Amino acid sequence: MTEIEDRLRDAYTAATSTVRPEALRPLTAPPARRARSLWAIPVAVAAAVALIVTGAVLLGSEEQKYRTDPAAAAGAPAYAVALVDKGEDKPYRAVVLSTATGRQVATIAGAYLQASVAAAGDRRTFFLTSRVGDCATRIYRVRIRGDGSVTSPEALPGAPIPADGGEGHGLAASPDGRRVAFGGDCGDLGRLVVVDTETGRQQVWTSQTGDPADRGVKQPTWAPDGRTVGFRYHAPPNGELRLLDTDHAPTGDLLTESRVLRSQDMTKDLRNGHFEDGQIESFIFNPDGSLTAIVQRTNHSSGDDQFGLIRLTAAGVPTGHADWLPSSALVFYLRVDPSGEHFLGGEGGRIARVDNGRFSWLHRPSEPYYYDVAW
Amino acid sequence: MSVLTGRSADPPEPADPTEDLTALFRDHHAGLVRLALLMVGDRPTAEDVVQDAFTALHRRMPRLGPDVRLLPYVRASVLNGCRMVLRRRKLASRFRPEPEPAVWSAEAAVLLSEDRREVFAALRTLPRRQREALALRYFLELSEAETAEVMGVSRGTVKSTTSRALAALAKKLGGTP
Repeated sequence: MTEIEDRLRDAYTAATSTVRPEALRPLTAPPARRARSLWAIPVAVAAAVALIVTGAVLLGSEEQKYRTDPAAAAGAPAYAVALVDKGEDKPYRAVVLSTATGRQVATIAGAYLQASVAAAGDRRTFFLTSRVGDCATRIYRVRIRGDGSVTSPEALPGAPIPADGGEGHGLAASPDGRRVAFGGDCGDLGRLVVVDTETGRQQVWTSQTGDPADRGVKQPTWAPDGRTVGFRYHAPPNGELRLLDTDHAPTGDLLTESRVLRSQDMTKDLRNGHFEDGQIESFIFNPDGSLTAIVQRTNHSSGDDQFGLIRLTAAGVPTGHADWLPSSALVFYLRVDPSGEHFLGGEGGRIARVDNGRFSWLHRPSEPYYYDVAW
Repeated sequence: MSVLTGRSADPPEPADPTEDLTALFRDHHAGLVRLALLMVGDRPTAEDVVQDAFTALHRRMPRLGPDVRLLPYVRASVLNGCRMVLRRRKLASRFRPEPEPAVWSAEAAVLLSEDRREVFAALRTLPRRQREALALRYFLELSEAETAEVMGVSRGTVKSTTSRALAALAKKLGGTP
């Protein structure tokens, strides 16, 4: 336990020490409803109908506003693979989603523990992970057919990967699908593992720098050259975007062999009169070698925050302003399609999409809690 | 599995939802008021938020599915109530200055040493999501999975949010995160 954690617990305990159960107000039952006069019933019914209609219209208009525009979505992959979180520590279910309707069109066999999903560039090959033991993760490949049906999962050859899933969203496939990169951790070690999908050969890089609870390698992404892997790493006091040349870097210490592309901090670029600071939450390589990042900016006094997408050069320099997302959108991970014009991302169970700069929700809010998705 | 205690049980008859609610209130009322107090800063408002959460839960119980876990549900409801209080205060403060909530004001100096008030002053500068994650993790001592369930985010986000919050506190207060 650290000094800050100690001070936090001590302050919390002291500030709440006056709250004693016997001194609290008892729970007050809601007042009983009075008998209504006969004329009040039609009025109440009319008011209720008006409220329902108004609510439905407002809700409907909000949903309508962020419905996918077919013109903007033209050219996007027809299918995505998503993981359904069933709560607590239960394994995820993997499903195929139609990106036109947001509906599940197939279920992938198996259960996937602490899983991630990634797509290759052919729009039909997908990879899934599942934790099979301590510091042991197995990768599976599936292929989606033209009608949305899916092949049985096939385990990649070789031993399981010597890492756990860490924060999740930890899998990326090279554009040609011949290699996958898995970012995670193993105890106090951060790990990045690259696997040849045909032979099962593994390359492992390890890091033990920074906060032991936060050494995991986060959200790897493959560059279009098929050999460079980008990832986030938290090396206190800064979070960094890093690049690793997997063809030339000797396996071993991750931070020695990789290089810093830029800091996650983007305060200078994102602050304005209302928001005081900003940072990169996630980034991916576009097919042309540039980057797209999710950024979040914050007002510390009000606690307001906002998420947006921004394009960066290959050197990590912003090329323009961020496109800010609706306030209801929390986006902490990002997936790009092979064209570079269509993005999926999300958080809190709902998948968002951005097609040619236009934001929409992939599915209705009442549907399952989707943890990860790829196309 | 009991929604209240987390212990396995195989009751021969379906549980009475009112009994569940009563037990939930008995076991967790004070803890929830303390959580709300940390969020909104004054006790009467904290008690109101928790009362409202239980009243709403009582009203909704007949419509809740059998799989709904009441404790995470009411915790999320309390956090949501706190967010609404803070939003209302923010709106009101545009027209008239608000007095400082008691938890971190000079009124609490007897209970809160200078050191503790420094901690609260630093906490107030964090984004709302970071403050919530810290209170759930270090006051209620919830696991990452439990915190994620209450906040409606992933476990990974809880981990990174907490880590960033601790790093920000260490920067403001000095010390190791």
